[in-house]
Amino acid sequence: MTKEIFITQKGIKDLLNDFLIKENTEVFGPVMKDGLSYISKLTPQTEITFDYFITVNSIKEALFPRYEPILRYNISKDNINITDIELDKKIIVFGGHPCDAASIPLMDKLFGWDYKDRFYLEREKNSIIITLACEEFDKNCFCTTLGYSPRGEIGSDILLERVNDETFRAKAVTEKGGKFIEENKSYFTPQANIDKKYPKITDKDIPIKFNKDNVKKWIEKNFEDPLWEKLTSNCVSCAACTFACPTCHCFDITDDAGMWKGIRTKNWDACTLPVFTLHASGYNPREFYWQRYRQRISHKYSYYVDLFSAISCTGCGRCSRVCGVGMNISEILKTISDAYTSQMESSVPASSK
Amino acid sequence: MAENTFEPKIIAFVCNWCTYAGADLAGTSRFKYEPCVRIIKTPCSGRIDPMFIVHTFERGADGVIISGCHPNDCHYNEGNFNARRKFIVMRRLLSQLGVDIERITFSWCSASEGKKFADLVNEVTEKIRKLGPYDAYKKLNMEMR
Amino acid sequence: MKELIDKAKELLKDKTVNLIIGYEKIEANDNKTRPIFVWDEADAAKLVFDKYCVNNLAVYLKRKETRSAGKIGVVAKGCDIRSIVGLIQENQILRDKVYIIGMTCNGVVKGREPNFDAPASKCEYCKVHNPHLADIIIGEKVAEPIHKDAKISFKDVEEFNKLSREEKWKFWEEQLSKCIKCYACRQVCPLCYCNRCIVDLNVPQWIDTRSNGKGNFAWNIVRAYHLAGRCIDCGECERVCPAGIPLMLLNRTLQEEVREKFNYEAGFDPEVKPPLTVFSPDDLAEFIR
Repeated sequence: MTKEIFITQKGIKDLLNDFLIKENTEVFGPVMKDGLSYISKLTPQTEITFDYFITVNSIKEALFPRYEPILRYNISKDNINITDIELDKKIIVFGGHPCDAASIPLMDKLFGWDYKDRFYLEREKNSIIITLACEEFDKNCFCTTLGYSPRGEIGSDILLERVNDETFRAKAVTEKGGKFIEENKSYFTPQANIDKKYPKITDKDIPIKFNKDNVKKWIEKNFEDPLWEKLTSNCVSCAACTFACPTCHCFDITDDAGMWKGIRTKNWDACTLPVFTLHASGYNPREFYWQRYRQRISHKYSYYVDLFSAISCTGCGRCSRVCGVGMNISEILKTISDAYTSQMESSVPASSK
Repeated sequence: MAENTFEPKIIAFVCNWCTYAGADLAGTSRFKYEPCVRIIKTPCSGRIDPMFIVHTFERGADGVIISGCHPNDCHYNEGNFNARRKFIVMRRLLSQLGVDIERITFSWCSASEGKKFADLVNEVTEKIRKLGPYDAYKKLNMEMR
Repeated sequence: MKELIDKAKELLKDKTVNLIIGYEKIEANDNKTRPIFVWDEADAAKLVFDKYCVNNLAVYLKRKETRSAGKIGVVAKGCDIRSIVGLIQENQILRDKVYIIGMTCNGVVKGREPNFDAPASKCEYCKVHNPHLADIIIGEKVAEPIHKDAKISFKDVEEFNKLSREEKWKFWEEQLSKCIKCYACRQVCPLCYCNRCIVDLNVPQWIDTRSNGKGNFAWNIVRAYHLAGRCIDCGECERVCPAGIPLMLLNRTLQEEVREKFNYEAGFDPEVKPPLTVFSPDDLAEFIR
């Protein structure tokens, strides 16, 4: 039987702080800003918090930053000099939940597909994902519907499960995680008092909300269905849901340039924004809000499955929490799943009933 | 000694019909004025989008001058009246953000006011020299990752 | 509530309107509401109105698709009606294309975490608890607030004015660093209706689209500036901002400036031209040498 290993909240704070001040490192952790919790890049002055249910944003920005330079150039008398970007920082990502960690294998499929995106892949190679198992959930959570779990290990290197008010049980999920614990074992402890009230929730607590396979089947058959317009009426086409989502990965490339030098940057982009598909001719195939929302759902629940055999969603519910006009994705998906069921029922001939 | 030799980068947005002509007159009259100001000519002060001020600071300027025809003298009749309202609003916005509005100078300078233009440039350069380089805004553009 | 539902059913039945945009309760056991598009009488039964109705439904009037639905009924409280007035002033909708169902309002909640249920600060000094422009007014007349004839209070702006320039800069550097450029503020604002926003123009790229210091400052400056003299203080931008940036502090600074300098408060009179589209030869700008 492998010996259990634990770490206290103080141990975590010390570990992150000591890592942070080393050279060439980046540490991401949960921080309170004006009453809301966010996964942010830590500095020696930042205090991390353990006092949150789920952060507004996800851990995706540790591996896929909101904006990042992809090359620098300067133009001299004789030629153009291009500097590549170094991606050798060691990264610790702490404070995500299993729904965050589960997004990493999903994004791996895309960023490692036909073009190997070194900006994501190298960061992932150099990072340790330390996940906190969930202690509560709300009505927006639906990870279990998609086959994930509030105590799931997918995508994490180390999973921390709370055993008492101060301490977590640390489980090495991957070899990388095991090595990390071994190298830093002075921060961990072999013993802890187990408080019986933990774990507070298990898979059984989070109800299954809809049939995910039916969602894809309905999407495949009903591209022009007026239900799309009805379901998405409230959407105002901002990018809040896209940016909060742990699996959304669209980006835009722009140049910040002067006459003689510049930086080419990769920034987050969102298919929900009105000009996402605006052509240079002025024509926009997704001119209306419902076309863009249809695309968002179809991409996550149907097209991604066709390409990579996985739904590009982990059921974290952030999109619904952050939406300012009441769009609720699990509600929408349930309606779609039910629509499929009733479509199937109504197509069964009366005589065979 | 670095302070005394600091050569500020000051950009002046001027209207073609009055201030630019005034600047020209300053030159032909051989008035001496500081060489730190780079002039950008626009047809009218009404063309000067207050966002130019923001762009100028973003690109590393230490000071901005905006100048046009006197009210009632606009070559296009009302351009400077529209500009005046826009500048009032933008100046208030920038001051509320903590942008150093001492570095932004607005003026009405006509085609015959060569001396005024030279004095304007000298005073503004001296003021910016004392204020030093505008590092705070430059800092915003530092890459964070 | 019953009055609202009955009126809505009547309007749809008579085909006075083809669509009513109102509020519905999200869940039976929760106070929160969200917008609902009522196309037929059956759905009208879902309409509610209470202090949890925070959304500004006038935002949907800027949508081409919604406008093409013919005459539209909108359940609107005073602040929402101010934005409808703004849209009419700027020729975005015709007055006779919108049926304003004005609701008397005692104030709404803040509507965002933390302190979701705290009263919204805008309600403290609101002058339009009783709608000032409507096709029908539903609800009991609200006792006029204390400062009915007085000006809208800008206490928060005045408090902030007292900080030194460095303090102000430090405050905004920190607050605006949180911005993620999701444009929720722009999308939820009824008066941000440009088909191609300045930030979407990329030849040349006027506004840096990165969410770094420079890009965030440029975006928030340009949005506050383009709303000068037009912002009607509904506070929706601040409510929907995922990053919790105090956007209204900037917008209200310009509301106060426009009132002081041009004697104008937006969203009350559809006949008046917005201040930045006109000028007065007597405008005072003492800072211009």
